[in-house]
Amino acid sequence: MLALLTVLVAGLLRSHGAILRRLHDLGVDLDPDSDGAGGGDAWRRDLDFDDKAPAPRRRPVGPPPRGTGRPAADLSGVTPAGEAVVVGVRETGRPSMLVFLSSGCSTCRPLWEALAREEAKSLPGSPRVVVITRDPSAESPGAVAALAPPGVTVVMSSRAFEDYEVPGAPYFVLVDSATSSVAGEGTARSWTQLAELVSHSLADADMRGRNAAGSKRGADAGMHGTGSRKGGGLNQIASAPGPERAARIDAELARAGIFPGDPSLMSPKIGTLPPTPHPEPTEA
Amino acid sequence: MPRLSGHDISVELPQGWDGYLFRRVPQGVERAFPVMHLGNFALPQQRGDFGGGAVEKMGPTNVFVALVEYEPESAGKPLFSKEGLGLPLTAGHFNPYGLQRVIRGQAGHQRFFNISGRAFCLYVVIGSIRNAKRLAKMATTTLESLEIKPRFPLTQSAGGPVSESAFPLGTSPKSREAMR
Repeated sequence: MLALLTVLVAGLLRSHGAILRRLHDLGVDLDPDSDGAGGGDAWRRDLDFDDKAPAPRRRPVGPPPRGTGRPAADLSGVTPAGEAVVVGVRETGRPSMLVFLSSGCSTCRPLWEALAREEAKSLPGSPRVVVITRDPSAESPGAVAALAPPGVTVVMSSRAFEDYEVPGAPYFVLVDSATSSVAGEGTARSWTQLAELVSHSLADADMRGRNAAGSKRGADAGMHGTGSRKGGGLNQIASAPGPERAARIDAELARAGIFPGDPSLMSPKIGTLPPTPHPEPTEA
Repeated sequence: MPRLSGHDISVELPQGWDGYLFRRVPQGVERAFPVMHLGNFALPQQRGDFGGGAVEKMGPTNVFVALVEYEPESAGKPLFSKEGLGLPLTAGHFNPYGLQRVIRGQAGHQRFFNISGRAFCLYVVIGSIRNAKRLAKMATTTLESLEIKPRFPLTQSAGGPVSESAFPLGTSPKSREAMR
């Protein structure tokens, strides 16, 4: 019995040490006497939307992501009311902003509220906004229905999270309708930040387009109201493929206050959610 | 291509199409039956059964399709005597006055029919009568993938529920009652 207990305690101490080393590697400072300059307070403070902020070292979430420009997929799932739904985002003549949210994510709450205030209509390029949550097996349809503003298209689809390789909520994917491909993706803590991201990227893309055409650099690329180019397409927000894209995603998640282990990055386990009936079609 | 399925109705949608398949919440003693809406444009959340709220947002290249089911007892009535969807749809099927509400430039087609012992109304609206030939073909291509299976309401008997597979396909509701 004593030997068994010794082995058990040694194992626990070993795993605890591994956890502490991992937290240290991620820059989390658990020293209660620290001045807060380290990780302990740093990851709790509000981070500015600053491109110069260094990205924390972290293990990428999920499989290595593909670059932007990859094919987009139409959305298939159910509404919070249990209706079967398909939402087209390819070749629609209009860009689509896919907003991946969760009902249980505190970072998502301001974004749900912004949708209710119709701030989504302020996005450059006037994309169609579609909110996506996970399936009713992983999300509460009732909670989603309570958060979903009237008039906003909401699709409950875990398949969409997989199709777009979404690391966690909140997350945004801009689909270029003309090319039926992903024009850009990232995360933000507010709709204002998202609008800035889209605006800056459109301006950057416009300047790249001008340079590519050999035209003189614009003094002020600014924000193009429609954001549309020929065929209704939008230029890429992020062009870095592979590992660079992974690092950029990590950086943006960090700026939004989302770090490894954040609950929003993980699907809740079945059994930990309140029992919610599946919205099965009923007999007429 | 994504497939929209429910209530023993399914259709494969071309890329970029929206589709909803639902059943209204019955009010009081009335019964509610499935309704399907399809469109090659962003369907608004609030829509009437025959597209009110959606058709107003259509442009000249848009198509809206509504498939509305009625009570199964109607399948044998004269109004629903036609069988099947009546495909292919052509420009000649569409009438500027064949609309629930006349909207300038648009045209509509309506057909009451029965299929698999079920009674339906198919209502198709095209955004421009000038594009009728192309839009009719677009609607036809989408509807060709439509599958409608018979539906047998489960009933409780002394021996337990009657399985759907107990009755041959196409058996009418009256015949099923007689066979129980």
